[in-house]
Amino acid sequence: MRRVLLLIAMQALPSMSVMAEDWRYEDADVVISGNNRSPDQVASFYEGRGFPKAMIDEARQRCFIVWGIHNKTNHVLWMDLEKWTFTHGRAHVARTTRAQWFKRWEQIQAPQNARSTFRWTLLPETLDLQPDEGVGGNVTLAATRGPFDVEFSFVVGETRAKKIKRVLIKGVQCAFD
Amino acid sequence: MRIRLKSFSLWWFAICGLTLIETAHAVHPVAHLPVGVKEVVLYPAPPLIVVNDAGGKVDLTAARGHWAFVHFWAAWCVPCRREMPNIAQLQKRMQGQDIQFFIVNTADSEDAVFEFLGSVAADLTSLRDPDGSYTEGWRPRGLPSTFLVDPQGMVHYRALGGRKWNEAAYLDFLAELIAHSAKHH
Repeated sequence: MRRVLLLIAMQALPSMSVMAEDWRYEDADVVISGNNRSPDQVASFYEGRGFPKAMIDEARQRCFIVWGIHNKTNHVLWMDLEKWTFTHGRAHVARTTRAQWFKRWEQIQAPQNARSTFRWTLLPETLDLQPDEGVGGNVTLAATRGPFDVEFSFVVGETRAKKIKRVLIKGVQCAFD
Repeated sequence: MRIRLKSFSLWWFAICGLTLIETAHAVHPVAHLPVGVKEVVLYPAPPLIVVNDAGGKVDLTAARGHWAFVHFWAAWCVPCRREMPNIAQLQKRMQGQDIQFFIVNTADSEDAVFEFLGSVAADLTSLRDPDGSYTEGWRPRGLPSTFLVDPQGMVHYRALGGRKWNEAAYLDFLAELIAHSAKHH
């Protein structure tokens, strides 16, 4: 089995000089774009959709980064958030998974419609992105001060064992109020 | 006995052959799919019982015998905002044709739906899945998401993300689906 490892480090991007909280990467295979949301922005988004205070308070404690992924290849691009890494110095930045949110919403008996909307606003945990397909959504992390690195990992090909593609974006930051 | 077996085998192959031809027609009614529309391995459409703007219930099973365009969207979803005017135009262009539209909002309030449609597609009316549970049952890959259900109630195609439904490629594709069904039933 032939494995090709692509590691692309990105220190500075033109878009970052315009808005410090935006990140964008593009090559022949993939477009990755991201921007962060402050707790106030997160709260106002969910408040506007009638979320109860308990859910909003819970959301406010996390770092929300909206990532968009677009598959430019002619193959399936397999995405699995478990394979992505978030590293602050030597420390791992914990991600709150969909299952963890589900558990939390169960504990506080969050209303079903709000749970459903919240789920849709998260980036899917796994997805087989088809050629020219894009996906976007929130990745939720432990609120972390200072820049950290995100390494995106994808498998390119119709089966899951073809080619691994990695993209490293440095200098990602949580937004604070 | 040998002759009987031989004759039985011939009949069996003939029946299988006819079934295969029929299945091939059912599974591949359209030769060229427009961009972003994918054929799926046929499966029965999951339940869909949603609320119309008068508060009444609408059940997808009532659409049996016709193609159904099942579309899920949400008011907060940016691609939905871009796509909805195209769907409004599509619905207008397909008026009188043998296809029923189930435009389903997922988990937004009535006010949010009203406000959204007023700003992007005033002529369009949407159904609502108030707690989003029916939408979940369809397992869309994201929002917006569209499924095409055949007259037998089987999910036949799905569209990835937002599409320019008012463009010729999509209109021709849907027209061809309908024509194919009319020819074979």
